Amino acid sequence: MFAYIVKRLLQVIPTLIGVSILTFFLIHAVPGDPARMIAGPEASAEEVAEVREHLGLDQPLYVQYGKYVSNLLKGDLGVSLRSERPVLDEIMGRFPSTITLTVMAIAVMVVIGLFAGIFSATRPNSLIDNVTMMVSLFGISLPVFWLGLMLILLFSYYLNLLPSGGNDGFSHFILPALALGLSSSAILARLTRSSMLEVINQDFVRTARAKGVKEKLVVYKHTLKNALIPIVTIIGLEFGTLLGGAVLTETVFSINGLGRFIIQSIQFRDYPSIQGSILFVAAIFVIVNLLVDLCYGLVDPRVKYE
Amino acid sequence: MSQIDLALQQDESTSEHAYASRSQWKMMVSRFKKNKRAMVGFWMVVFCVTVALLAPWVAPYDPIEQNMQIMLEGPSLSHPFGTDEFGRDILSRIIHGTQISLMTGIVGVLIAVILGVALGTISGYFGGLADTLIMRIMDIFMAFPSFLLALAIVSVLGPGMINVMIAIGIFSVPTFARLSRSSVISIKDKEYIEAVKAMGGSNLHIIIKHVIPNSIAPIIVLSSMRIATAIITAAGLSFLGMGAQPPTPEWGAMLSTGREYLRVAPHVSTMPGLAIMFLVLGFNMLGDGLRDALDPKMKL
Amino acid sequence: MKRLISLTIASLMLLLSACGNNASSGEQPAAEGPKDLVVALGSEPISLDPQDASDGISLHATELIYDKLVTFDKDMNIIPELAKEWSMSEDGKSWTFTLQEGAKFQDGEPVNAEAVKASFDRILDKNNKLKRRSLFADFIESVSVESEYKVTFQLKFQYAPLLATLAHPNGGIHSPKNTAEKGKSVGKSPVGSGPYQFKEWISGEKLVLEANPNYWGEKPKVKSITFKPVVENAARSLMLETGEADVILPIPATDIDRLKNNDQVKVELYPSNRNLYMGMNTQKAPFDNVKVRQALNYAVDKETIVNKIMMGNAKPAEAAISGLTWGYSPVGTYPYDPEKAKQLLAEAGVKPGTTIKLWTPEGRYLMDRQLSEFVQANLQAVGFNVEFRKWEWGAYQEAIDDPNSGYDLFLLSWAVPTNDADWGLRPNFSTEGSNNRTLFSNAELDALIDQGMKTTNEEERKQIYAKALQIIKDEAPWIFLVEMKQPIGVRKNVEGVYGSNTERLILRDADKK
Repeated sequence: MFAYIVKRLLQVIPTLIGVSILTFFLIHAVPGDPARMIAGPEASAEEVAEVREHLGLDQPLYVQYGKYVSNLLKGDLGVSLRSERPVLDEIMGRFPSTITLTVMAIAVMVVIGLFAGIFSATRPNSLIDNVTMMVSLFGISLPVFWLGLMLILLFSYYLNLLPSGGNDGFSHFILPALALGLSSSAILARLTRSSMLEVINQDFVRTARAKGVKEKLVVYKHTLKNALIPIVTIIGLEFGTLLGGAVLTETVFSINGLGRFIIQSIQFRDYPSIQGSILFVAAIFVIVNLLVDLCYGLVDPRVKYE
Repeated sequence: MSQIDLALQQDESTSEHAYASRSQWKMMVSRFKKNKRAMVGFWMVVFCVTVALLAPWVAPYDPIEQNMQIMLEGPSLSHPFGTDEFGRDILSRIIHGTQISLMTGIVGVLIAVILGVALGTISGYFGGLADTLIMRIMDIFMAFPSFLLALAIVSVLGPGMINVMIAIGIFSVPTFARLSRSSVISIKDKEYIEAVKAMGGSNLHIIIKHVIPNSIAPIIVLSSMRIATAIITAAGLSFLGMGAQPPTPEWGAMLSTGREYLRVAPHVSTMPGLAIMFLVLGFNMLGDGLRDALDPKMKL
Repeated sequence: MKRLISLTIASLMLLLSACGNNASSGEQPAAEGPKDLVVALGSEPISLDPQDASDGISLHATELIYDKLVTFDKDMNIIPELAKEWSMSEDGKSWTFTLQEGAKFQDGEPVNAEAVKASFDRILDKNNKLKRRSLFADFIESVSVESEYKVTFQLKFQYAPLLATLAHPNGGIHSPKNTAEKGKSVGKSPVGSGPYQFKEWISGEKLVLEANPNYWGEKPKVKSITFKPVVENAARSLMLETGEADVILPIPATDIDRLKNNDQVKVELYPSNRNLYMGMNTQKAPFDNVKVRQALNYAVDKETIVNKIMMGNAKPAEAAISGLTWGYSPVGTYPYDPEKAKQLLAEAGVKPGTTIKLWTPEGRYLMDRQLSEFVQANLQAVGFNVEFRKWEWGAYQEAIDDPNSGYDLFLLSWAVPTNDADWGLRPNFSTEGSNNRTLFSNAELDALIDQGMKTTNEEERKQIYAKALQIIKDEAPWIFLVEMKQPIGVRKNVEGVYGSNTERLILRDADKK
């Protein structure tokens, strides 16, 4: 187990290096002089020269990259052009909103997705199963930003039940989390259904049933437990979708999170901020996937770490 | 977006079926035809393609001509989907928007297929260092949440539909590369390939004549699903103002400007949203059906 | 001139005494529980340094943090603020201000003649590169300290709108200690002597100002004022309806009627001296040809903009400055005549299908994006192919600061904060103007603007500006669009909030019941 963890951790390192190379080139791929861009349009020639020197833009690429990485390791993601504050501060100020939204969306996904999936799997090919699966197909095909607008229309404008925007408290996150989580829950429902169906037909479940264990207990104890692996997998995969979707959801619901920050930074051509936040999100995504991998052992003792 | 990734997990099994003889193709077609959902999806897509091709003739009005006298009118007989804030007919805009969405989805995925299949085939066929290198790079791309990667690419390229297509193409490359790599690996050691090799066939000849044709089926399935993702992503980018610019009748952009009138004229953003859903649903159902026809065991 | 001053001072005294009464009766324990006034605006401030901020949103906030020597009252009369009285030398070139004693900056430093001098020296110094330098530097020769509370401004020439210029929010007085310590970054950590002081600013989320407990004048009535940037028009309206915001600005035209019918909310349409225009890069072909510029003016349907897009909350502009601004004379609107536009374009040799780039902010002005899209359609109708790009306000400002960034047309507006034609024209149309983004240059106009600045006779000045406005109309560096009104929405329990003619949201006397 320990060896496996170490091995997985070591595997993450090249990925992270790759990610940093990619974000490093992001700023170099922008047409124009990056120093000029970073210094801002009003900067004087000396200021531009200063930036060029600070970032080492006059040096060979590999030297520049080395500098970039050593700054990264010190937690220095540069300074935002828009606010003139460290990018890391800007990110950390907004990250709590984004992670709250994402985690709540995962909760929505798991609750709705699991129930719908189990519901369908225990009644395979019934009318209810077909309807549920059809609804989930619709769910997958829904654009999250449109769903968000429709939720605002219904719950904020017509019913006046929930706030349509902002991030001042739990109630502000309900609609955004629903909008963000629903379409993932449709995917989870389909996956739960198929993996449970597979297990239900396996011998040990049939044996359990024959032994007279109550139907419900069979479903929950045996099949669900065995179906957990794909569910954990999908949480890992969907996490990325949700982080990306958060950009749209935060825009629809005026949440001052990391996603909105990225959009504002793009609109402002605040390249250090774009670079920093994208790197940050990618790193989070890589780490979450690592955790998911490690979780396999917890949900399924059959998985051996080799 | 992730159903694709899930499909990939099972791609080992798909590729065994990839080498399909003519009779197997026939079986697949008949399986596909029997799948009601797939057929519905197929006809939905055909419908959209037809609408897109005939847009100038079927759209009742000019999609960009403004008529301020009838701004923000709700659905009526003369304007079945109502009018927008400039009095433009929303139905006509949606009809013309079909062209844009289909085009973006298809071109974006085409870029991904070409690059992805090329990289995946090289990787799978030659193995070794090329394989490691290519697949590591693909891993890195996959370490980014896909929508963010598209956003980052557009932020570098600048707003506009062409750049959106490129962004969508790039972020889809890894999925195609992985899929075609595993297909190729499962094919390349088959006896008949060995036979062609023994007869002195060049690598290029083998790849083009034998390997790619036999790994194409799962690529088609994935493409169909990926087009669905691409359409939603493109609409999302336009929604954020990174895609089509006014007055282009792009669905995501229409939906975005309609936000301001959500209260007084909800139809302005409701209708384009329904259009996106219709087209995406069509491609998803088609993709599902194709996959089931290809490999009935692979159930999602 | 002297009579005018003494008259103003007399009327001021009356006003002051009225204020004084208020102050003494308002001494009751202010703490009736924490009250936060939430103000939702379309964008967030750019800088809280009044000398370096040129956008209206920033100035709404600096008006609370900083005091000026003099200020405008609700009716645009000049009244004392930090200066309690002033006098002018015989030649009109030297003005001495006597300061209020006992006023302190929020960091405890005294407001004295030294501080006023330091503040003005800061903006006059070219090396500081402050955005609003030319507002003062063009006519102030030097500032000198007479005594602890007496400060003298030596002018380069007799300047009629001097007091109005000092009443401009850009005339806010900095704490010298703060500017010495922070330098350029005072825009992020401001210290003035106003009734509200800086507490925190979370970019993209909120700016919080709290009551200054030691304010020398009438005590602030609410505990804090929070500015929130809410780009989405619909979201702003909803926040007002639900009470999440106490004040919103602007209200989208489509929501005004609905909000008027809400009994929890008051909607006021304040007049504004803001004119909205579409600027052209006049150095760039084909806009270097006056016929093309005129053609663009004929091509745009101002009436429909007013009636349909602004829903009546504006009127077609009849000059480069608004009717509320001193020195205005109507020189007329270009009629909507697309045929004439096409004819002029043909004469100028502009081929149909010529591609031009139109940039617009979104969420800054009432219906800005819609208006630009409408203009786009108008211009397409006379044969242009118009590439459209919308921007977030902050990025937009930066982008249009650089004429080489690629635009041909840009939507912008100008409200005249001094309410005087000089500052309506000089920054925008003189060759060296600080806001001359059209790069327009006309020697005759430059001379007139300079003459207007240096003339004190009111009649003469008016005639000079009438001539200048006519030239501007004929030369048409702008597509003249509309005179705006400012719809401000406040909750019923909020009092003392209004919009000035110069489009400042005045919150100093705001109270929340």
